[in-house]
Amino acid sequence: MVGVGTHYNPGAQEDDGDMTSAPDASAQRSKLLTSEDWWAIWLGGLLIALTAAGVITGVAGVGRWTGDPTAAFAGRILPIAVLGIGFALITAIAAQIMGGSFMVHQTGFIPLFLLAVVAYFVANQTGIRAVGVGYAFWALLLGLLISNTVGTPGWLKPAIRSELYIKTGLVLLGAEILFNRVLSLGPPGLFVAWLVTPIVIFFMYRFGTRVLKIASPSLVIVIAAATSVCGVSAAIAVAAAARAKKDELTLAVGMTLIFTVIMMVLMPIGIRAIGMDPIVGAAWIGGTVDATGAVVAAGAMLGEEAGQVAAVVKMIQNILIGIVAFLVAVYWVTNVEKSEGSTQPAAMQIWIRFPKFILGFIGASLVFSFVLTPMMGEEAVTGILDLTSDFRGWFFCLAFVSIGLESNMKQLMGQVQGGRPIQLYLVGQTFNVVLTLAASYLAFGGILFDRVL
Amino acid sequence: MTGCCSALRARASDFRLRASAGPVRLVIGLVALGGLAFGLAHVSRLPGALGETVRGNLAADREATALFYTEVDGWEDWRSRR
Repeated sequence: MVGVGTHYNPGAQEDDGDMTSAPDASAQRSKLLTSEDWWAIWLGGLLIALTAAGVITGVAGVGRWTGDPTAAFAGRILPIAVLGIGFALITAIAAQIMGGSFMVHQTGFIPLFLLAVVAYFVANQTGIRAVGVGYAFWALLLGLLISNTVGTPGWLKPAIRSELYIKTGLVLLGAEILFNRVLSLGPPGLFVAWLVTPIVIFFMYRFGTRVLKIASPSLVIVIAAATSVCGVSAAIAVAAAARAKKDELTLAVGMTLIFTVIMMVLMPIGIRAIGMDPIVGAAWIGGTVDATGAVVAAGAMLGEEAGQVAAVVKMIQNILIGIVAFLVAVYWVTNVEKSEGSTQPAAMQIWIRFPKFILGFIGASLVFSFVLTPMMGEEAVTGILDLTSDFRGWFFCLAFVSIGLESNMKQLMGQVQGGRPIQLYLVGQTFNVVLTLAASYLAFGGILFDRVL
Repeated sequence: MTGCCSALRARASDFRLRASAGPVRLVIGLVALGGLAFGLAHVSRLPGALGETVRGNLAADREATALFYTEVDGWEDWRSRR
């Protein structure tokens, strides 16, 4: 089990093994069954396959409620229990084969799942939902509250496998990255989302590591991805790709959640106050507000058509998450981790260090984009994704509860490093806001392309 | 001997104090968490921009917590709407 402050990818045998000799076939085979990276692919692949084959036709979830809390569970208790047992079984099998204990994992998993249910329950209150504070926030807070008051019970710890849950969720998320469908949404959106985002990531990485001199490059890249791509989901993907510490992910997620709500409220007000063209303003919102849901909400404040433009720009930006995570993983194993060692990594060493779940993440995207969509049709694929995205939500929720349960507030505060991560976020977001405004005017103001609406 | 016993007693008392402090802090934390949830659930009643945004989201049943575009209602229709 990974303790607080350790890095992602506890499959340490992949990272700490002998880097000078190529692993033999039997060792390689055993990693297929002993590393959480590979298990993320097996579990994610299994759920995708069962859904695509029509074996799984529904995923239980906590319902929305307003004043009556029991409405959240009306007719849902049994399906949620079945889901919990199913998750407990497949994760316990993984735990057993990875060297843990099936029964010990089961014992801890059920309470962990119940905490995830509580997080969903709070997040699904209609008023709270409308503010834009989702399950990730509540799952983290619940975990943090327990670990920093009574302490995380020993019997719960074997089920706390945040990396497994995050990476399984990411493999499932990969299926939702539909290149062919989203890229056809149009060149203006592509211009705003795909031109500005890489520039902002590069700028923030250089600024964070060179100017602010933040000691952890993984913290810098996680904040940069959350700011420039799509908030929490990008932070999760890049944190796993760069093997960031759990505290670093928690900090980035916390910042992005707070600033997302602020920007969701203030940007439409600012756009209306200065009389900006709502379509340009909407593209600006789509390219800058971190969270997808907040973009939809803020864009809608400018009108229906503007809301659609904001959503489309954000959708196109969402697609970047796969490319960014892949490139960060490659950059980390070939540059960042190389500098920590003494030798230039050879191809085999790069392969050993490479976070394997990325293969599942990218593979799922490619299969859904270029194999399943042409083969099954868009409607069928949409139906599959409706279910796999629910699975993905549960795995992310379990991951955030786990991260909270493993986190120590003192160490978390240590990540703040005199406010430098917040300075990085603010400077990076300001740069993002200015650059995206210029790109939005060029693309949606009728200068580079015909006006879309 | 007496000094040793009193030191042990002091340590036991300190341990009991710390052990009981955990549940108390948990209860306080849960109350604070409940208060935060209650406050956020009623943000729509606030005047001003925040209240207006939240009321708009409630009225349109908008998915303001979506982490990814596939969680936004009607995402599959965006292309045809465009």
